[in-house]
Amino acid sequence: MTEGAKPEAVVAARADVAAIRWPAVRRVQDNWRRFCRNRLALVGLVLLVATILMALLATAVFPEGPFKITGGRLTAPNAVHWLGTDELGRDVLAGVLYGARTSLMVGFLSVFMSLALGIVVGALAGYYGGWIDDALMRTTEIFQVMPRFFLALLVVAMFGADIWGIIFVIGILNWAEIARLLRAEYLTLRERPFVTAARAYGAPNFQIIVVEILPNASSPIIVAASLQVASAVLLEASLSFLGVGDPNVMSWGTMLNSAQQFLRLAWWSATFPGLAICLMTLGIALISDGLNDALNPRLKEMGS
Amino acid sequence: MTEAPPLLDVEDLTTRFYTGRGVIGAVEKLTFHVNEGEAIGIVGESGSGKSVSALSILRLVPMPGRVVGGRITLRGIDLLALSEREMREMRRKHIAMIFQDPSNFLNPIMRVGDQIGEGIDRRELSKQAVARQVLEALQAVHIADPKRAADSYPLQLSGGQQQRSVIAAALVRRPSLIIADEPTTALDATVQYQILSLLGELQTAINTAIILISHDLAVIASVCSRVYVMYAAQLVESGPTAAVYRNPCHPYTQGLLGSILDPLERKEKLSVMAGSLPDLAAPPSGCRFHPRCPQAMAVCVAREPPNVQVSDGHTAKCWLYAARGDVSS
Repeated sequence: MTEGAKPEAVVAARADVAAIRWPAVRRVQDNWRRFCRNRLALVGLVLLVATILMALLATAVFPEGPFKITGGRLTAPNAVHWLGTDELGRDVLAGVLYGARTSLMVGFLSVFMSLALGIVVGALAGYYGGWIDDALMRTTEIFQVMPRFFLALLVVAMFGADIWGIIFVIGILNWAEIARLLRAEYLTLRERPFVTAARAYGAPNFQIIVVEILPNASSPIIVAASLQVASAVLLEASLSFLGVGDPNVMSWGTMLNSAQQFLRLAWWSATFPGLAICLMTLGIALISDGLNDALNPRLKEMGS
Repeated sequence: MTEAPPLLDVEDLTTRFYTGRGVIGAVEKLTFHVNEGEAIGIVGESGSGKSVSALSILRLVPMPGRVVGGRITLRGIDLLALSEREMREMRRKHIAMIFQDPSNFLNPIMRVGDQIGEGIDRRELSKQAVARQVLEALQAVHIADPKRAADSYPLQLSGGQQQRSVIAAALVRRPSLIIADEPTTALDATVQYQILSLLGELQTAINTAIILISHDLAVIASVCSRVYVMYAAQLVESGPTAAVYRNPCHPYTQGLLGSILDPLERKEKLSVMAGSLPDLAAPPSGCRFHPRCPQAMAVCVAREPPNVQVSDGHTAKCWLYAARGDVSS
């Protein structure tokens, strides 16, 4: 395998191999360093981590669940009920903590679904073109022209408000955007010389699609996906606000829905879940911004 | 002439592009061969069909284009008859291509070392073995600090370093044939020289055959033993580099050589070839060079010239020699 290189070069190369931090570790460290340089992104990360902590702590702090009546109706924040109680005497803090669970689950699972669908469809359509592109894009357009919110309402009304159903619907509604975005990236990237170069050394199509092109197309996808997390959280909250959310799962939207009638009597019952929605979506938006900067190699500084 | 069968034999290769403007013949009946371990050159202006010929050999001609005729055999295997999967194996194992502008042909967001490693068949190799081969390849192309280069993104390297990396990516697989398409055009003069001598060095070190494509005869002359001159999709002259250089026969080759700057020779006026390449969708009648040819005759307009052997292995497609040489084909 190595007969051509000069012997001393070979020896030196072997010595160097040990010192090299070859695999992905180095890359993750680099990206992390760049991400941290962006103060706002760190703020976003803190907000998201706070939401995750809230979700994790929910059962430890309130083992009896968010629906348990623990005090008088509409009590203002006090030492026992830090964020007060709602119109049924349920603790608002418990609702916010359990609501964080719902929001995170809905946000990430639905985006995971829309990413999986959107990447496969967009990559195949953009890379192969021709009739594959036509067929996939017409399908995508059907999903794109549907008014999202009303379709979500319709599906939930028809099949019942189940949290998994809601996640599924949001995923189905969002993948078309990812697919179109990725198709456009593939359309331009597949003409790039480095793709020809990859073909010239015999790379199979699968390798070109996944290894060569996908990382180059990742920045807009990551940004779109993180914005979709925020919009999925909002969509679920909106559905719950309209009263068609899963009644067995506490969510921030549900809390806002029941709080609206008592807005003047009990500001706390609407303020805290509303604040939670704001901060979480803001956090995700800031992270997406930071990720875009950190992952975009064109912005990476020269040298170290 | 060598007795052994050539490594690559291209016969009557014809590649056409089917565009909205009509059919464009990018390569017409191109015939040439490359022996094992030999470096040959293909010269011509931009648009004369050099790069398309190279892509035709790899079967990577971009979309409206198609290889419509001829035979390409590599070690006796007919490349045009292979399935796409078999062709992929051929590219992986036997043919490597070096492109004109290294900054475009490297994936911008993959580390250089990873990209070189891409070309290695890693099915039976450990990560360390791949990394070692990558470093050896980078060392073989004399890149300063190979370890750092492997760990860099393409935009962190200079143009010369990038082209060295691309060459490393080609040689890491020890191909039997390297096609270098204008490998030095994007580089400045001193780096050009280094890259060329590197190619020459590698040719002898790993016994790779090289097809060097350039518009610059001087570049070809420094590396190649034989040279093919292309004009408007056709071969107009071919032969040993020294013979073609000393005794250019086709008026086009004479024009090409006349337009080279020689620092030792003070020319009053650099000779410039009048006119430009003809429209390949509707090439001129007879000899395709006749509208620009200073020695054009009536017969040049009327009939396509034959390939004439002017000396041993040296042929020119020109009526000027038809009377005195042996006419082949």
